[in-house]
Amino acid sequence: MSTPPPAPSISGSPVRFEGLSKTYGPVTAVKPMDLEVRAGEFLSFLGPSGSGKTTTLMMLAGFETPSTGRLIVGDTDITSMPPAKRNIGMVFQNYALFPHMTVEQNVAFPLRMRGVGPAEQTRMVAEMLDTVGLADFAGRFPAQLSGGQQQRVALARAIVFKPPVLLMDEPLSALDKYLRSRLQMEIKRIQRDLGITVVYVTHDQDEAMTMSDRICVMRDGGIAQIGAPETLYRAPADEFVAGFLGESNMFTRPLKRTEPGRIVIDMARDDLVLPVRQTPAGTAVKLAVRPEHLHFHPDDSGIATVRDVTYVGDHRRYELALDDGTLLVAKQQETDGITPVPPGARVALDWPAGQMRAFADGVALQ
Amino acid sequence: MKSLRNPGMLLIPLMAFLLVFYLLPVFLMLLRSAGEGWSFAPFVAAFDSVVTVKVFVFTVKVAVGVTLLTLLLAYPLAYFIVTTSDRMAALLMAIVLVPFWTSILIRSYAWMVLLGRKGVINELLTWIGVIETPIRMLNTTFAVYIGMIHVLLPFMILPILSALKGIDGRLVAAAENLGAGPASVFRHVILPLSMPGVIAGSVLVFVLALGFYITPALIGGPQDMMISMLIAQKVELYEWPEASAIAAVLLVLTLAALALVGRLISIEKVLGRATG
Repeated sequence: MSTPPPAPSISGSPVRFEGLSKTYGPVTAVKPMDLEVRAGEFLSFLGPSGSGKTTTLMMLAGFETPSTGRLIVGDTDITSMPPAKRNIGMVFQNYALFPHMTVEQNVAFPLRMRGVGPAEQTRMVAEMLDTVGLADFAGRFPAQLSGGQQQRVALARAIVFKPPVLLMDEPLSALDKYLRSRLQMEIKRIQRDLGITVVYVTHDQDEAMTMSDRICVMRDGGIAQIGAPETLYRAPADEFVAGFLGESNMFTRPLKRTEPGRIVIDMARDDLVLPVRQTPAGTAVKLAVRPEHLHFHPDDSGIATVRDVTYVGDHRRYELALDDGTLLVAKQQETDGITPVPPGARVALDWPAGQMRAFADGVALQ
Repeated sequence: MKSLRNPGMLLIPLMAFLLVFYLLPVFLMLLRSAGEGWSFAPFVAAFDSVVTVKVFVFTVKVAVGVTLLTLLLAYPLAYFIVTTSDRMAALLMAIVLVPFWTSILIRSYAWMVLLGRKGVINELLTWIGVIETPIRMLNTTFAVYIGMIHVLLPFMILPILSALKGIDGRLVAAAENLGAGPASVFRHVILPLSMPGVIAGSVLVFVLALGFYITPALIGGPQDMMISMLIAQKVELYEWPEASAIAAVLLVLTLAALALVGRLISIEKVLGRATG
């Protein structure tokens, strides 16, 4: 495959949410929110349905009127601007391509609306279709294209007029897994080449992790945590984020004692000492540990039993049961010289203190 | 449910019905139009008359006029119905549909009551002093248009309404997002996507208008004779071959109109359903 030509450059604008909220009668869809998306940044809103992520995006696009607050793109207050005047590109969830227009006419549409001359239109559309790899499909109708191709047309149409900000509402959710990961990389490449600011909405955590510079995790209409994917994965601020991003083993253990700056947790056979920023009030804490951080070795006097082993290619997935019934998942890398531990075997657990997170009342202690 | 081996079998009763009660009579009619000695004599006889040609021209003129006027009235109303509140839409639909369920005969008589010399409209206009002597409205071409438009309006509104309802709201949102103001959204998205409804409604109204009988007969004047009235007149005079010849030409005319529309506009293209 030939390398696509670099996309024509656009410079992105920062987007500022100032106390932005949305209520429908007594129902709060989005709590007052303050957020700054940097120029050229790829920011994802990630959350379950009903978390307010789509409503936030719709306010930015102008299809929902905020109940309070202001929206600023670059230096312009767009809070009460109609959608048509905002000059913000958008890729809709089901692409929303005009079925009665060809690919070329679809991509030319925003240029036509802006009074761009026909010759210039043709040149810009051709350049854009080249960028998304659809130069040969200009004369087709959307119904004659595959899902992935329609997605590219939607992207081309949303950026051909060089908007400073691009909104994407779950743009890949209708595609199969293989196509999704390919388009993720392609969208990322085009975004970097253009320098455009992207606000992306998804409920797929892998997608958010792969593509975003920062992720804004939403819950119940508010921001649960915002940060780089690595930060959210390594140091989730609360139980919700820990459970939502990646896989986590979550279980409750009694506290042995608290000391200033650290807690000692009763782990059945051993004590686990964790440094904390604040000491919890209760007598137990909730612990979270990622399956790939949980190590174990066969030991007849260990505290857990292997329940089940699944071979997943690059790793083996173990289900380990503690004597109190707690189930833990551990991933063991598949490397030479490792003999799999059979179901029924007793194992000892090596708690990775550095990679464990403790929560009390849902909030991280470290 | 167990699936049928050949679902086409389900069509047999309908096909048999159409064969006996539709195709056979049409065939017999065509046969009769050829006259006793298998010639074009009945056609020549029928169309040699100035009256027949005049009636044909008048019928087509009325059908085209009624179709256009109905379209002009129906489109804005259908558009309003899809954009207004559910309650208002239900009310308007009822207003559209109640006459639709009323006998065409009763409606024609109702127009007689309204349009007559001593009818409601003339009395009202005289009473408020707009006119001094009653205007002649009943038994005019004007009355024919009014009556036909009234009868045919639902046939135009319903297909347009269904086409407009079928337009994905996200397309409108996308157009707005891409910089289109209300007029552009209508011109570039809503109007083209509602064309299948406009075409379906227009064809329906045109074809129905070509064969109108009761309304023009009751509220039109003597000069407002339409083809079906002419056919009825010929039948009453026992001029069966000529009546059949005129009917055959009407049938061909109708089929030609349908074929022309089919040729001019590819429905698939309008719907965007074309496949590679």
